[in-house]
Amino acid sequence: MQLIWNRSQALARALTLIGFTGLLVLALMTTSDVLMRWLFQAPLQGVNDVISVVMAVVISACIPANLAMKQNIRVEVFGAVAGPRLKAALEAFSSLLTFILIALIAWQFVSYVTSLKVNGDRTWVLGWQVWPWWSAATAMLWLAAFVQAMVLITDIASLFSGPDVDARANDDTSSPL
Amino acid sequence: MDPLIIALIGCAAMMGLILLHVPIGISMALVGVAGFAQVVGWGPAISLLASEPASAMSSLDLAVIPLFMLMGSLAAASGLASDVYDMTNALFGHRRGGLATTTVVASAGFGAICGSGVATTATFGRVAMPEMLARGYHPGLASGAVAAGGTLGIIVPPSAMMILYSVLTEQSVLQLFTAAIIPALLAVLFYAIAVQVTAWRNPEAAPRSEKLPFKDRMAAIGRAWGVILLAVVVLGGIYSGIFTVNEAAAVGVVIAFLFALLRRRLNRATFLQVMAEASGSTAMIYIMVFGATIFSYFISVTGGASFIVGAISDASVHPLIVIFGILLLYIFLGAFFDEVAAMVITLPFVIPVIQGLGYDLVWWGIINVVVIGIGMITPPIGINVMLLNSMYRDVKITTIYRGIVPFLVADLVRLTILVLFPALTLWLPRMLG
Amino acid sequence: EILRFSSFEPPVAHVTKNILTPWAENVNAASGGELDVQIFPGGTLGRNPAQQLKLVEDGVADIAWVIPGYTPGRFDQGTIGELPFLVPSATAGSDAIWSMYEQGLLGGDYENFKLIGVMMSSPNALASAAEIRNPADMKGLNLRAPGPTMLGAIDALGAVPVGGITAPGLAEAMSRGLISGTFTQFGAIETFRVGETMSYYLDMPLGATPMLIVMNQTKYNGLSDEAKAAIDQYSGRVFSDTFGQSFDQNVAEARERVLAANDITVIEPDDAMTKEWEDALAVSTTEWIAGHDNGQALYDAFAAAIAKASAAN
Ligand code: NA
Ligand code: NA
Repeated sequence: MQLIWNRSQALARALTLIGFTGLLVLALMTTSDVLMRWLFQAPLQGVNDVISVVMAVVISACIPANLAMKQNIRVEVFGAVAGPRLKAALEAFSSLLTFILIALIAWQFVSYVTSLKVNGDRTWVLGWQVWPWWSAATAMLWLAAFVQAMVLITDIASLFSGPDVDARANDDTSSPL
Repeated sequence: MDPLIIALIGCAAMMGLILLHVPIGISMALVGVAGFAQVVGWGPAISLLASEPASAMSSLDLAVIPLFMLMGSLAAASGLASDVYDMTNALFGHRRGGLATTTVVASAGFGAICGSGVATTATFGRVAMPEMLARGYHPGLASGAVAAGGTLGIIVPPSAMMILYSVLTEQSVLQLFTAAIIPALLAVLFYAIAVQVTAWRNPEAAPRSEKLPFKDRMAAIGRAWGVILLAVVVLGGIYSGIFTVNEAAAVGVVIAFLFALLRRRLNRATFLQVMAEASGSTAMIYIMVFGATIFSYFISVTGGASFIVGAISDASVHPLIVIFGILLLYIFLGAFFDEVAAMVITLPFVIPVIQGLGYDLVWWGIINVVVIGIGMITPPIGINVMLLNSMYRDVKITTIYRGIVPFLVADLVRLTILVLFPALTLWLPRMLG
Repeated sequence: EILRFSSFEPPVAHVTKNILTPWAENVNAASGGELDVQIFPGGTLGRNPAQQLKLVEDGVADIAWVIPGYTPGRFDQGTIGELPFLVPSATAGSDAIWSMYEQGLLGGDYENFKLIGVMMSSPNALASAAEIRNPADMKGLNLRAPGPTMLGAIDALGAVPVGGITAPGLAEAMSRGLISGTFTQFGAIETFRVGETMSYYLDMPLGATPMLIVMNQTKYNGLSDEAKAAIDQYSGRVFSDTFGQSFDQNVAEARERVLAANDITVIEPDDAMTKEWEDALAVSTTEWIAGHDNGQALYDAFAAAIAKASAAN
C-alpha cells in the first residue's frame, strides 16, 4: 500500500515537472515574440494559439500533485476542537467528495474531447486541431482521479489504524494569498 | 420547490461542507452542480463539469497566475529577497524602528515581483525575522512587521488576488494593477507610521542599530540591481505600455529563471521545490475558479442574486451603509473562512449589489483585496500569522497577534479612507486610460 | 414555462438591452402568460462567449445569442458574410442571410436548431494605430485575426495575424503594440474603449460578423401551439430585420460619439483605392468559394440577396 502511495506521489511530481517545463517554454516563446516584435518588427505567428492549447495540459498536469499534497484551501476550525478520531473521519469524508468531483470531471472530459474531435475545432491562427491537446489534459485528469483515489484509501486506512500512517508532508507556503 | 429556497438550501449545504473540512472549491462545485440540477436538470448540470474547467484551463487571462507564481518562486529561490532586504536596510536600518521599517518596505519591494502574500511572508520570515530577533527586537513587533508586510504581496501589483478578481468579475487586470498603486503606497506609509508609533511608545521593543559605513551601504544598494531590474521590466513594462500583462509575466519568468541559473541557485532539489510551490497554488486557484463559477451559475439560475439586489434597492438605504455592511459581513465571515474564500463565495451576490449601487467594480476589487489582506493577519484564521508561528515555534501565536495590533489599526484606517474616497483608487486608471 | 435566454454581453450593452430584452417581453406578452422568457445577461449562465452554443446543446440555456466565428467550423456556410465588400450594412446583411436560410441554402448545423434569428453585424472596417491607406501599408503589421475566412488575405498582404485577443483585451493589445490594427465597427470601438488607442479608421466594408439566436429544437418542439406561435410571431425575418436596423443605428450613433471624443482620422477611400483593396483581398473570396461545396452557387445567391435587400431598404 505504502509503495503504491509513494509511486503515485512520484507520478504526481513528475507530471508537475512536465507541466511547469511546458510553462517555462511558453514563457520563453512569449518573450522571444516580444523581442522579435520590438527589435525587428517581426513577431512570431500564433503564440496565443500555442498558449491556449498548451496551457490546458500545463494546468491539468498540476492537479495530481495538488491533490496528493492536499493543497486546496480548507477551513479546519471544526477539526481543531474535535478529537483525532473525528478529525480522521472528516479527512476521509473530504477526500471522498474530492474524489467524486475529480472523477466526474475526468469522465465528462471524455465526451468533451469527443465533441471537439467530431466538430473539428481548431485554433484560430495556426489551425491546429485542438482535440489531441485536450486528450492529453483528459489523461492528466484521469491520473488526478487515480491519485485522489490513493489519497482516499490512505485516509480511510488511517481512520481505522490511527493517524500516524499518514505520511504526507503538509508544507503550506504555496498558498496564493 | 421555489428556486429561492433551493438557493438558500444550497448556500447552507456549501457552508456545511466547508465546515466539514471539504476544500472550498470542491464544495462550491459539488453544491453548484447539485443545485443547478434541481432547477434545470441533471444532464445540463453535469455538462458544466466539462465546459467550465475547459474554459478556465484555456483562458489566457487566468494563464497569468501560474506565470506570476513561477516568477515569485524563482525570484525567492535566487536570493533576490535577501538583496532587497539588504538594500532597504542600508537606507532605513539605523533609524528608529529601522529594521521593522526595513521589513515593511522590503516586503513591498519584493511584492512588486511576487504575486503572493503567503510567499512574501514565508520569504521574509526567513530573511528578516532572524535579523530582528538577533538585534533584540520584541518578537511581537518583529513578527507583526513580517506578517503585516506579507500582506503587501497581494496589495502591491502584480497580485494573484487581483487577477482572480478580474477573471471572476470580467474587469481589466491592467486597470486593477493601475488602481492599486496609490493604495499600495498608502499601505507602506501607514505601516511605517505604525512602526514609528510602536517604537516611540516602547523604545525597548526596537533597539537602534548602528549606521553601516557609507561604502557598505552603497554596496548593499548596488547588489539589489537584480530585483530592481526585474521590477522595472515587469511593472515598468506594464505601466509604460510596452507589455501586456501576460507578456510581462512571461518575461518576468524568463529573467527570474536566468537569475536562478546564473547565480547557481538551481539544483535538483530547489528546482523541484520551486515547481511544487508554484504548481500547488496554481491548481488550487483553478479549482477555486471552477467551483466559484459553477456555484455562481447555480445562484443566478435560481434568481437569488437578483432577489437580493431587488430587496436592497427597495429598502433604499444609503449606499455607504450597504458597503460598510458588506465589509462587516466579510470580517464576520473571516472568522470562519479565510477572506479569499469569503470573496469567492459571496461574489455572485455582492457584485450585482455593488453594480446596482452604481459603484465601480475596479474600486471594489481593490477594497476586496485590502479586506483579504486584513483577513490574513486577523484571528482566528490569520494565515500569515499561522505561517510565522509554524516557522518560529517559540514565538507564541498570541504574541504575534498582539504585535499585529498597530498594523491592524493602520489597515482599518486605510480601508476607511479608501472606501470614503474612491478617487484615491480610481484617479490613476482614469488618467492613464 | 420558463425559457432561459443566455447573453454573454452585459445587461446594459446595446444588443442585450435594446433587442433581446424587448424581444423577451414581447414573446411573454404574446404567449398570454404561458411563457416566461428570462434573460441571463453578462454571462451569468456561461461566461465564455465561445461556449454559448454548447449551453444550448447541453440544455443549460434554452436560447442563446451565438457568434459562430468563435467556434470555427460550426455554422460554416454563414462565414460568407465575413468576406470583404459583400455586406454593406447590418440591415441588408441580416435580410439577405435570413433569405438564404429560408430558402434552405444553409445546411449542417443550421438544421439542428430552432433559429430565432440569423443575422449579420454592421460591416467591419480597419481601425488602426498606424496609418494604413493602401494594401502595401499592411506589410509586416500585426493584425488581430478576425477568424479563418480572412487569414489567406492577411497572409497575402504580408501582415501577421494575432489570435486569442478577446474584445475586452482589444484596447490593451492596441495600446501595447501587440497589434497595430483590427477589423471592427464603431459599436465595438465604443464599448471596448478602443477609441483612445487608435488613430486611423479606413472606412470600407471589409466583412461582417455573422450572429445567431439559437433555440434548443427539442425544447421548442415540446411547447404548446400557443407558445410556439408567440415565439414565431417575433422570430425569423421580423427578428433579423429589427436586429439589423437597430445594430446599424447604434453603430452610426456610436461613430459620432467616438469621433467627437477622440482624435481619429477617418480615411474615405476613392474608387481607385477601393479597387486596390478589392484586388488585394480577392484571394479570401476565391479561397472561400473553393473551400465550400457549392461555393460559387452560395456566393452568387448571397450576392443576389444582398442586392435585393439593399434595393428594398
Ligand atoms: Na505583489
Ligand atoms: Na482572518
